This record gives sequence, C-alpha cells and structure tokens, in this order.
Amino acid sequence: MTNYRVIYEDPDHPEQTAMVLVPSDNWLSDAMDGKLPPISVYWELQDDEQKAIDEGRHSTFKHDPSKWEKQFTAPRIGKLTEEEAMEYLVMKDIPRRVWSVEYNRPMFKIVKKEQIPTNRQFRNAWEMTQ
Amino acid sequence: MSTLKVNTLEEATSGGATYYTAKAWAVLDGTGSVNVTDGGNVSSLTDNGTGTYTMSYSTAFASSTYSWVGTVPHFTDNTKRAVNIFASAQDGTASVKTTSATKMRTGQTNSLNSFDTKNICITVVA
Repeated sequence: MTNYRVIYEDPDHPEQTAMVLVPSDNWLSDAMDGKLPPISVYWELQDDEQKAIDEGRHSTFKHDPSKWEKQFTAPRIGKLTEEEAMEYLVMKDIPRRVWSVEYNRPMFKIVKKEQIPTNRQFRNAWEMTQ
Repeated sequence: MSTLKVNTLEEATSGGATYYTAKAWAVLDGTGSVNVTDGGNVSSLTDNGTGTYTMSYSTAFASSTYSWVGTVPHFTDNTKRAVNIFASAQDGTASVKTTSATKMRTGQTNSLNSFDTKNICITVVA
C-alpha cells in the first residue's frame, strides 16, 4: 500500500477546498509492473472529450475506436518506480491546468499520507500550505 | 494465468441472452485520509471535500453513456442517505461524468447535507 498522496488546488476555482488524490493499489501495482500505455494515449482521449463538452454534445459522446483502442494496443512504457508512477498519475487524473501551467505558487504537491489530516471536522476549509 | 478475450458473452442455452459485465467496481473509504479499499479499473480516488469524491478509471470507457450505481451503508439514525453522481459541475460548464472519471456525492436524500462514510460501493456497467 503506497504512502504517497497528491494534494492540489484548482486555479480556476480558488474558492474550493484543497483536494487530495489517493492512488489505487491495484493501479499502482500495474504501473510498477510496466502495464501502462504512454500518457499521451489518455491525453488524446481527454482532448476529444473536452471538445465534445465544449461543443455541447457530450451526453452521447463516443470515443473514436482507433484512439480508444490505443489504451490496450500501444506499446507499454515499461516498469515505473513508485515515485514515477505518482508523477504519471498526476498527469493522468489531475486537470492539466493544475500541473502544466506555472503559477506564482505551486498548485500541487506529492506528499506522504502522514501529512494529510485525518480529522475531517473542518474538511471543507483545508488549504495547501506553501 | 491465461486471459480470455471475447467481444460478446452469450448464454449457451435457449435464448442466448448476452451477458453484460461490470467494467469497473470499487469499495471506497471516504473517512479519515480516504482510501480505495479495493476495486478494479480504478486508478485513483480524489477527496474533494466532505462527502464529495472523484473516482478515476484506469481504462477510459468507450462512451459517456455508461451506467453507474453506488450504495452507502444503512445508518441507525434512520436518515435517508445515498450516493449520487453530480449531474453537472456547479458552474454548469463541465461534465463531471466523463469516460475517465465520475464525481460523486454521499449525502442525505432529504437535505443538501453531505457526509463522509466508509463502505461506499460502486459498480459501473458499460
């Protein structure tokens, strides 16, 4: 079980609380066994879907089968370390605007589980410390 | 271990009904520092705040028209509780049920109160 978490804030919604991404152990195991396609395969799918959302035709959206199948047919990228897998997951599951643009402060951090509070009484007020 | 690869599974007896299998499933713990207790085709769980989570899929679905169902445990205080998909983002600009992730809320059905809970069970058929 990984000890890593990713904490991030959405620059488009600064009023929102900090978010915490927790990897699935099964996915992490696949990543470390070298079973993942290049990250570009997911980005291509995300771009197509975002275009459908922007154009208001997402409710019945279908991926181009040739692009969708790349998830299974593209050459695997090889075994990743746990740290590399976490970086891959950031680029796959966190909105691109969070990690691909340089802001005046970091919008995400890969942290240890112990750094995340377990008391959720004020969960909606969490902020990322600098 | 061998892998069976087929496009359609049909019942061998009369009728030959097609079997539809789950393409993703998960048991989630939405308390503490949250966790994916177990699951298949789930890459991560994002804790977005009290009772609000995003489940991302290892393999994106072929279309956005997948069927999604979730359950939460019964609570002894008898309040009606459920897990729902967000129908749309609060600002109305983006979908929160995409082929690669689903945003969900665990809340009381008779109020807008969200709550954190263990044993959130999700099944997705596509």
